[in-house]
Amino acid sequence: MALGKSKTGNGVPLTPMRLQYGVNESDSWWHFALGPNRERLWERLRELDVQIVRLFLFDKHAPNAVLDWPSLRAYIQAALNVGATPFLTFAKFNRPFDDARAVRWFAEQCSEIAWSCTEEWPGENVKNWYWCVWNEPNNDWIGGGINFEHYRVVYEQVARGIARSLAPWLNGNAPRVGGPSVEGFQPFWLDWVWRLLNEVDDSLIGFVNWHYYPEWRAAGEAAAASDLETMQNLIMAQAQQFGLRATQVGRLIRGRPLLNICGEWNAHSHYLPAVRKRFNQSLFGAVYGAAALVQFLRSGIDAEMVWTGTDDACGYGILNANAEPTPLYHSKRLCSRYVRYGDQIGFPIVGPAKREWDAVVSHGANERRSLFLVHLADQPGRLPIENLEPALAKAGYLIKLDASTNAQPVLAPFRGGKIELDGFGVAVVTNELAPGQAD
Amino acid sequence: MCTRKIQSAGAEKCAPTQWPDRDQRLRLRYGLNLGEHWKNLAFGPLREELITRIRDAGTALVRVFLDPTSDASTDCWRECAALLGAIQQTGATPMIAFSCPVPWNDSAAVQKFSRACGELAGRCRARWGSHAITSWFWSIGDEPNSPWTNEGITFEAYRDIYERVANAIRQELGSLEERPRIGGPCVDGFQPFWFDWIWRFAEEVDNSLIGFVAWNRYGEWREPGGWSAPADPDVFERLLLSRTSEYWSRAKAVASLLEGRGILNICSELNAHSHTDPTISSRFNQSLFGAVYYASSLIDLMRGGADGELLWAGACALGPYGALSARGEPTPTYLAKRLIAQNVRFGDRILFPLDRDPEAQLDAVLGFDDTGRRTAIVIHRSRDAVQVQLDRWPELANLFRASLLCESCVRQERLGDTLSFDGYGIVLLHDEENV
Repeated sequence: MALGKSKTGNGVPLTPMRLQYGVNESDSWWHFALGPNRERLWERLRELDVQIVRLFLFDKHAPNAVLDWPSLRAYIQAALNVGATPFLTFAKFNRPFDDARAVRWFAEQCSEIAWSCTEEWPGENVKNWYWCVWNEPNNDWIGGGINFEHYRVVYEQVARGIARSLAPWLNGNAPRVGGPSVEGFQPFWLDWVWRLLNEVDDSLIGFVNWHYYPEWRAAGEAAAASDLETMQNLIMAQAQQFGLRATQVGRLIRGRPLLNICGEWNAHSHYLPAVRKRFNQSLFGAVYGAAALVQFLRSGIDAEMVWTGTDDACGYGILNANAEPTPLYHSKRLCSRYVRYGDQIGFPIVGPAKREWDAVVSHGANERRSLFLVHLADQPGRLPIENLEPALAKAGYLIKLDASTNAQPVLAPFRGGKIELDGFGVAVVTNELAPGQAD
Repeated sequence: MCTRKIQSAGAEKCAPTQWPDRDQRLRLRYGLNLGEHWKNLAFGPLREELITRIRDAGTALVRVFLDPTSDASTDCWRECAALLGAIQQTGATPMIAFSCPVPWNDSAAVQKFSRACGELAGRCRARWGSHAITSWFWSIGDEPNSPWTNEGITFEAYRDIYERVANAIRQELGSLEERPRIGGPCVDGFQPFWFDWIWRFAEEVDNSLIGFVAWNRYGEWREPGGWSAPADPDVFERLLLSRTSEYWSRAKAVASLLEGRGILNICSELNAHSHTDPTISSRFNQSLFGAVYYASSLIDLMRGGADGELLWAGACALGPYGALSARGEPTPTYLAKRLIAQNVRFGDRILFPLDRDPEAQLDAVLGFDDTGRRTAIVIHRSRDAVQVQLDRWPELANLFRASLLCESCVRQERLGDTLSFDGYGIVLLHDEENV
């Protein structure tokens, strides 16, 4: 979309928005694919403008491709029903990594799945799907203890197998295969990205996938801050890590036609659902997620996938098995409805104010103007928007989500040129409501 | 070794030179650490030569660890005083570093320690005067987040120690128009939650007691093949060099936290490899590779908005870290430091020409001032050979003179329109007869 402007009215530079919104569908895949509320779940995800859905094979209780193809087919079809591109993750195998026969077996399984997909769905479509090799290989708990040298062999064999399966439709182009889906707590996480890019045949890499959660400890655990308030503020302060990491990965892939994808993120990854739920499925989680989205938009990465979409008591998801949304669903929906692919976007908040506020201004077709704003502090905040987007300062609509709205989005006319939020919060000011917003 | 020739993007595609914003000035103070128990600067036979070397390297800060609880006998104090005097002769400002007391959880020990730190500051004031010591830096804590160096200390305990020591020092500094240059916590950057300590330090300690926030960062601690590090020496080396972007991301993260507070953001220890065994780490720190790693780190610190850097170590009697030997012999890392510090100076306007048009194995910073002086540092971060056309980056055009860093010297050359590297390299580009 050529809007012909490179700056907002007050001089904030604008760049094209190219972020694809996405979700993971993993442990609770059955509800998403086959559960009684699946159609409501798909509808909810369509409302989020989900363009990419990460699915698992060989882990996360995913259906077995050989023994239960109908379930796997339904799992993939569910992503297609959402209107998204499947992102299939071949998570791991449990045989010795240095056993050539085991690696060959795994690669054959993966290529057969890709081939089966072309039998089930048009190859012209399947060729555009994403195929991800392994999940968190740098974490022994998750990835099974594989080292990079073994991972490289697995990666290349799987990628070649997928390329063979999709060859009739690729017209000589590379399939969208990628990795390494690195876990972000490990100090040398970026090494895996660098090694993938420098030690694997370039023609076999279509994207780089990395994960980030700011915290895995409960308050007071393993030298973490002992009070919840400190921990929340500390987590919130680290939302900028999304932007910094995205840029670091971007520096490694610059000059190459590869996608930069954050394939897993959320506020907290504690091993107990009851602990992480407090961070991920609360108002705090909604605001942290909104801050992460602004960072993604600022960094210019190609896709993000929150962990997770559907969730049956796992403490992560933005929708429960009955398709009821959490606060993070609402804040993500506000972002995706008012900051759209192809819009021109800018970031008007600079300086010390960024510790308390962050925002993205979006210019769309037909003079649509929106401001997506996040309040990062757990104290009442008030911000005039004249300096952020003058076009919105006088009149428009305000949608806000904070403690005063019980973490639900509430629509009101925008008056007074100021936004007031009661502690952590998210708001949108716009001159054009998205379809259905007024309902 | 392959040679690649990188063509110009074409003059018609080059945007006009974009000078940086007025506010984009170099705020990085160059510095170095004195390695443990290193007293040659004060007492060695080559004292004057070492002082000259440090001064020539544009050194603004010298960090030295002093033990305030050691016997405050005349001899001990005389050694400290001689060292601090020598540091001042280099033209640098001392940064006096105190580790945490042992045991850290004994309130009597903490009280005694904080009193001793204050007394040391008092002796400095008596010797050099209030005016001098208020400009000095006082660093409290040495990697308190590392279980190796400070087993089990909690942030809460560190905060208590910091506030006691900072208050004791501030009393000796007297009334100040500016906040005292006291800081910490000098976190170990290998720990996964290193930022927790920085954030809590800035948020939970009375900001009137904080003049700077300090953090340490080395590229590696493992030997090749150990602890999941790559065994292939070539991969190990290239990977290590790729990690200098961490200096940018960390400086940036800390800068965001500190913006508007009037607190400096200082990388208090840096080098390529922190292994204590010289047979493992010396070749990464004290070689041309080490020079390129360090130069690349400096550019990323500049890019990230850091206010200071302190190489570990500027000088060591023995060991794998020193940029200068006990005899004052320079390593390539020292030569790189001198080349950069002398030519991209504190307060210069700076820009990073390759950010707009990147080339994978190169990085560069351009510095210039109001007198028209214009110099650029270009780094080649690979063992390969490469040739680039300088007019690809308009900011580097018309800089026809080059000073090339070699293993043991800096060689002058006059350039055409291309710049060639045969392996790792650092080049100063300029347009003056003498730099």
